[in-house]
Amino acid sequence: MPSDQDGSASPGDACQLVGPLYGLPPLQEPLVPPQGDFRTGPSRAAISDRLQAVRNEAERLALSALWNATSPINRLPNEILTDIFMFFTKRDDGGFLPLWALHKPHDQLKLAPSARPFGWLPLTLVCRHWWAMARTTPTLWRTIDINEQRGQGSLLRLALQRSAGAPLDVTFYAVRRALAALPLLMPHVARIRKLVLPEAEKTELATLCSMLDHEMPTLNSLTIYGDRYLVPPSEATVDPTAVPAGHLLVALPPSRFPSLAYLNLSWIVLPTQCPFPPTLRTLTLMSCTYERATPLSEFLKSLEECRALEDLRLEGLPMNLSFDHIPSKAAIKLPNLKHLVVSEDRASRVAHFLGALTVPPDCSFSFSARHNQPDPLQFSSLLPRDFKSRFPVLASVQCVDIFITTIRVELSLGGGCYLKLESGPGYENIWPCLGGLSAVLDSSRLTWLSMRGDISIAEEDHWRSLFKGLPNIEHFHLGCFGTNMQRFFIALSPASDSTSSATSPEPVGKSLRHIAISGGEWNDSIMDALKTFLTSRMALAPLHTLRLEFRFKNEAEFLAKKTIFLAEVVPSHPRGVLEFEAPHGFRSGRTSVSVTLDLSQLANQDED
Amino acid sequence: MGDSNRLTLVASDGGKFVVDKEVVQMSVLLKNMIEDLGETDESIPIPNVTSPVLTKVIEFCENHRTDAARTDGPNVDGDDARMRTAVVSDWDRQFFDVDQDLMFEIIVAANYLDIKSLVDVGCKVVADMIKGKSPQEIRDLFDIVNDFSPEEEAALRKENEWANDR
Repeated sequence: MPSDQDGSASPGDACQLVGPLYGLPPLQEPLVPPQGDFRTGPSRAAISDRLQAVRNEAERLALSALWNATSPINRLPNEILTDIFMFFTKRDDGGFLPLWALHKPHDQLKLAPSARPFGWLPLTLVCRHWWAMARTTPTLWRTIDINEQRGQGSLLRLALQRSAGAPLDVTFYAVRRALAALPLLMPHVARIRKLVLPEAEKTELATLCSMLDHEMPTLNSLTIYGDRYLVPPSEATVDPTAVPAGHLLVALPPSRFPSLAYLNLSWIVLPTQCPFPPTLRTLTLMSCTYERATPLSEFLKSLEECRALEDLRLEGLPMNLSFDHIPSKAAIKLPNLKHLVVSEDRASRVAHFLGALTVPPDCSFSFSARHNQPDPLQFSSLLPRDFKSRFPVLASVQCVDIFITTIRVELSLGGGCYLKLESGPGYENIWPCLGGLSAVLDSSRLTWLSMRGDISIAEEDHWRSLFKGLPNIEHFHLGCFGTNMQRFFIALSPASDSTSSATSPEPVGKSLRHIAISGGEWNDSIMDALKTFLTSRMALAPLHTLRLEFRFKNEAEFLAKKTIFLAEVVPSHPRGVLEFEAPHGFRSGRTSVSVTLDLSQLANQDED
Repeated sequence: MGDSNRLTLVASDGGKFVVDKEVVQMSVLLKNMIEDLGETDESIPIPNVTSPVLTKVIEFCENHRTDAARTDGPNVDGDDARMRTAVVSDWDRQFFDVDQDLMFEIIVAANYLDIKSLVDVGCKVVADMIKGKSPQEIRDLFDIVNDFSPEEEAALRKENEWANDR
């Protein structure tokens, strides 16, 4: 019996199926598979006839193999059949194998698509040709996932043997299995192309990282997760210069990893000198630290050496980064950067870091911070002073999408660019920061505003402040939950402006032409506010459309409110067209009703 | 002098097809040949592909002529990215709604002509045909028979159990 490289038995080779007839007795009258056209006609029929007639088991198997060899699917080149196996393994949604498929008795196993490595393995049961193809195709065996399942050692031995010299993609999900697999894997480290090490405590991770002490010329992608529970993030926030004891120091000398392009480190200690190989194209750091407090300039210098860097994701700048000596001018250039993500506890740390970078103008970005005092609760606090020249996209945004909750607000600016703020201690309401949008975006160009989220704590002043800073908004879409929708209408009613404490008598939202609101709770206050709003709009500026979708408790409530709406609110726009949509939706349990006021006729007449 | 934007392909059975160069260039093989030949009125023989198959291949290329070119870089996720980006549209499914012989001939022809998108769509269609079926159902689907001895089959089942063991 053949053996594995580690000397143990090779379970998969218990049956050797090799050669054109797979070691079976030769046919007495060999039938040569026809060449060329798949439409094999009489030869295939001849095989079929003989197959029906034979009694001898060995000859039956040989004839069966020959029959199968002439089947159209088995005439496909091996690389095509390999692709079919791989497509079979991939699920369309990219998800995981459903549980029902995992627990089926093997005899009843339906070949459900599996995203797991070796998900194609059941296909080898179909026929010898498929088995032989899989057995001799190294690329099918090179993706190795080690998890908590039993039998992992046997499968790993098979994969290491059958992958021949192919580069290996190794992902460890379970520390215990990973440690057990290490002796088997160690002789193959030189051909590891992708390596993912599991979250582990320091000594276990150090054992696994012993692989990195060897030359890994083909290593292209490396992911290491340290122990995230060792130092709670809150402690690190309190003392940003603290060096967390117990995290593992991972050194990656460029000479040992000449092909490393993708590096993802979480909860790892970085060496102060040369922490990143210069071959990197993607770098992701999450909650890492330096081995000792390190100035920002050193960190920037190490990034600048990665000239090919295209994707930089910093989920927390290195915790003990020192900002004492901040470069005054743009210190480094990342000329090939296509995407930049910086997420931090302190907005000012993000701004300081960005202030020392120069990136290409088409570089997309996502900047976010959890706001802690004394940073001001403004989007501008995330950005360096000269951000408009550094990130020109901010000056060209015409449409912005805002997602807001009580404590978090995210701006989607298009082109994969995002700004996010989360309120920390000292800030209980994130809404005031929306008032400063005009400081970040070119408000004169911004004509579309889309909002989603919780409006419950939005005050009239918040709405006024938002629209005052964005005077050219023509389209406003709001998909919201929570109550107090009436505050929006009151805030944008000029009459209310004059009676409020606002210093400016100028009404806000004058450019609004199209308003669509959905998802709020209907109440009588909204009815009154809407009536005031529409009445005031008659004197101010024409609306073209107003689309409202509110929830009602039941059909009776809706009909009652509709009567009031038609009697009291609609007359405020006497020439508009009013539509009530889908009142029958109540019958199917829906409680949402859409009301559309098409005011275009009115607007046209006014404009004429 | 013929239309410089069109050329003639000749199938293995002599069938001639006049096609836009833009369409033909979805085939890496033909694109390279055209570049090597330069401006010419000569027909291009396709010796391994019959007329019915070439008709279908051209139909696919005509339909997908505006698709963006695939640019799978040589990164670690290359295979994965290819698998993820192979999208099979309703039109593609209709296209492959043919008898199996023709379906596999199209895939082989696409492989020969190096039309990656057609190979990928074909493989995915076949993979989708297999999904949810038992080994015996797959055999029935492709008109193949069980050619394992009972001992071999038992050994293979054991190998499969390692992969599926929980």
